[in-house]
Amino acid sequence: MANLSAEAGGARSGRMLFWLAVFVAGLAGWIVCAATADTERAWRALLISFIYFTPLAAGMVVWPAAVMGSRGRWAKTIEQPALAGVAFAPVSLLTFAALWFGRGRWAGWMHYKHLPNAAWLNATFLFARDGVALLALWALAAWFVVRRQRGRPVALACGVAFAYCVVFTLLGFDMVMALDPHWFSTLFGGYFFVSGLYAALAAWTLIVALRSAAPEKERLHDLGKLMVAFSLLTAYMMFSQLLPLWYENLPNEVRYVVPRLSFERWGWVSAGLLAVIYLGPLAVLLTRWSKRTPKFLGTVALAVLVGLWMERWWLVTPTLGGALVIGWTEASITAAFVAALALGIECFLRSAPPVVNETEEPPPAEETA
Amino acid sequence: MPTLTFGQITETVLEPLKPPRRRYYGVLAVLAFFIACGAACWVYQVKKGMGVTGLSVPVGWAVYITNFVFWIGIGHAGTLISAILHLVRARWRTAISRSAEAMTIFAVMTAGLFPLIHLGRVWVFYFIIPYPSERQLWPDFISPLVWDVCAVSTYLTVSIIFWYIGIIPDLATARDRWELTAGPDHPRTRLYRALALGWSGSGNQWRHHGRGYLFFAALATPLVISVHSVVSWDFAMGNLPGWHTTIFAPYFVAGAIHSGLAMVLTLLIPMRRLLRLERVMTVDHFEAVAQTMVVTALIVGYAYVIEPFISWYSGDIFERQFAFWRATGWIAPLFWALPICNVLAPLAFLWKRLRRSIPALLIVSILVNIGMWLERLVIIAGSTSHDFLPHNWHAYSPRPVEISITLAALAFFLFCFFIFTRLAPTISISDVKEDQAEGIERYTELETDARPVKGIGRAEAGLLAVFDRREPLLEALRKAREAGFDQVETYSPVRLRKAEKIMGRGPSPVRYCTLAGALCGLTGGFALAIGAALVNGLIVGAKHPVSIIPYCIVGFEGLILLGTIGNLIGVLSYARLGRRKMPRAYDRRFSQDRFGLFMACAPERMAAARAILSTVQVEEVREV
Repeated sequence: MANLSAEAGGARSGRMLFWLAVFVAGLAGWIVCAATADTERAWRALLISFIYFTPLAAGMVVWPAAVMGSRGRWAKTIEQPALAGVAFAPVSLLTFAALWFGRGRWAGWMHYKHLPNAAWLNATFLFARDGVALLALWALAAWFVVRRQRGRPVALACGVAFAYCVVFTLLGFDMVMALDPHWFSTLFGGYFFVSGLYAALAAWTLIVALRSAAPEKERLHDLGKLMVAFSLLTAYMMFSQLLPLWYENLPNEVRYVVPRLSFERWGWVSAGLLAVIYLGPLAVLLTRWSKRTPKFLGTVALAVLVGLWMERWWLVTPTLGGALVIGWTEASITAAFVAALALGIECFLRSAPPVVNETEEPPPAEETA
Repeated sequence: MPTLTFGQITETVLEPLKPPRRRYYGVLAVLAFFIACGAACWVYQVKKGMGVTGLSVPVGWAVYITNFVFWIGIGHAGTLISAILHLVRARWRTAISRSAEAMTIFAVMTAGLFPLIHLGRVWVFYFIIPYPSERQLWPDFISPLVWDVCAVSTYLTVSIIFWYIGIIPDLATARDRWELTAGPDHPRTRLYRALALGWSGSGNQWRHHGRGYLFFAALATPLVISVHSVVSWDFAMGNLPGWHTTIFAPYFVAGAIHSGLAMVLTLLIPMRRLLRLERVMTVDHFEAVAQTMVVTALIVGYAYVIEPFISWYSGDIFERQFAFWRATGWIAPLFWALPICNVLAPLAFLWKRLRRSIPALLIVSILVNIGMWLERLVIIAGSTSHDFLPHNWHAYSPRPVEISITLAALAFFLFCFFIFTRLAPTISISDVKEDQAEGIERYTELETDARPVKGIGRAEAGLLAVFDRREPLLEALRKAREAGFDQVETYSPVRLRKAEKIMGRGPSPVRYCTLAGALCGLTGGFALAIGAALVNGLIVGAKHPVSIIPYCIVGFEGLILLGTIGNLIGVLSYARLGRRKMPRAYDRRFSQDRFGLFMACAPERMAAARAILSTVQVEEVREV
């Protein structure tokens, strides 16, 4: 990442101004759409952006933590841009607060009465527990980043990775699965956090591949292999959920599967997701060259990121009865979130001290305790 | 691990292969007795019928299927350690991978007995195998039991191939060691000579072997996940409370690895002491296993929490009453033992002192083994004995026949493992040596733009240099290439990646064989399932006769099976394994602790070759 620090300050300032302009324009566009067009669709778009960008940004911090927790040292030279995901915390928390105010517009469970799980889906209880969990996760992530700038906090790294899985299981259940309160799946939380880590990995790969003029090929190769592994893992989780639902064909279970596989044109979206995020990376990243070529790998990572946004949209929209349309509403708020994430990363890379990698030796005994 | 010389590593690992003491045969006799008792009980069961077991309506699945799931799960740690940890470059796997792989094979063999034992009329087992029978009826590939056959048979085949390919260099070490100490006609020498397939440790062989091994690992990794997922779907596809849930696949996989890692500790801790392997297999290795168990315990614990929560959240009265019954009914003592044995006990490994304490490791691993067996029993017998209709509810307890066969299975597994410890190296000698020599660098891919070397004919003469270290060999090789020697070959007890770079050897073409096999398997798997469905033309479970979603499993297993076989063919043919005669330049010391460089050259260039070798530290030079 020496290239990053050596980069001309002027270019960086220009980029920051650009992202700031995109953020303001995107947010303004979304407000206009919410005020003048389909308000429910606008809130739905905000929810989609929240459940896409929050696991992505938090996952970026979790990846170096997971590598460290598993005694890995391969990522030490590319950790800094991943840790920059922590800068997204304020936007994530503010969006969560905004979703509380607009809950009547998007939270499907609010419109049902006499639910058997009504106690769990009580709005105040739901937002209170999710808010506390999210706040705790971001605080833990920030603490990890600060400690990482001074050393190798292995125990804390393990804690961050564990907290990520727990918190996004909870958010997956509450913010997505509960949109249809009559539908349930024990694997949904697991699928949600694994796909979040996949998005984070794709974002990390994209940043590493494109930000440096000559990225380390070994590191790109590692990230490429991880992308293949996570595309397969996400596909496995999706298939593991789909198969029992499809097989038993129980009415309260297939209500999730049928719209996505059989209704209107959603089946085509599902096929597209299969090609882009589930199996595509395996096919296109099979060769050594593809994983070591920055532009190619970056393009694949970008395609995966777009595909995973579509996946979040595909998770939410059919449940809430939304049409298969992507327009200005979705584009504006997504652009605002992309800009917020990019802006945060730029600020972090400009101001945060680098991580400490002073030793090449295996960690001392007390570190792994 | 303390630094050992190559010779010390060879000596330490091969020492246990010497004739064992009487005590060893005594243990084998006791195990054989248990196996005989189990076999007698099985014959009795076949003769009298399944009524001699505790199975009845509605508890049709209980201890036998529990044993099947448990033993399949035990195998998973072997694949985790040898394949997954190889891919993620975890260096601690080297000392324990070979034993864990062997454990996988024996565990899958043990598991494979139980569907047959449970079948009752065992002689009709072949009904489930897809073949063109006179009945014109093929197995239905929508059935999870058929997926089981595909997955478990693929797993056993791949595990055996993977283990065998990995052990070939070590068998060559044993072959040469026995030839030197016991002579070429000793039965052991003959056995190892036959099994080593003419391995010489040439640079060419190492290159294809290393690449092939990597692909075996890449194929075995998704396979191991698929196998226990398929096993879990035996239950998740059944509409029973406690069975039909989406989390089962990853939950079973994590549980399988959890129990397998526990079994690794249970087996290897005593084995290390009995075979005096402390110098190579250290507490550090066990500590790493214990740390991995903390992760698997957390995943299992996650599932333990999510399952009852979603039972309540669903509002389904059957799910809710079942979750309540599991916690309070006759099965409650077993149910509450699960979080204690499988989650809380391994979490003790969060403390460094405990995960480095041999007694603590052994106690926790045994607790986890018991807990994971009970977990399968609670899942299998619990759901069947407490389904939708209260008048069906029925307590289950195993009968002596089932207990005897269960103990015989454990004895069979241990019997196989005991034989293995005295017949083949229990530690991967070449892996440990390579890890010691190169460390993490062994995983770095080296790109080369050097001029590729040419092949050497069997009859070609030249100069052979023997080195006691690899650095002078690399220096000599570099100088030889600069001087225009293009027919050179190295021989070594470990892979020499830097030598491959100097020799201009690119990635092995084995990958094309693997890819071709995998594509054939994928196509063949789908073709078999679709073809069988078209012949049968039956609508089962309101599903279309040709249903692509479940056929993905058959296609996937086909991909892995034929991909592995393609890879095997590639390794055998490119590395020229299976030949009877060793290369002329081969010296038995090359499989132990010496390195060789052979330069094929005409008589007039011998002087130039000798001049190059005179500039480096060489142990011996001779014309061959």
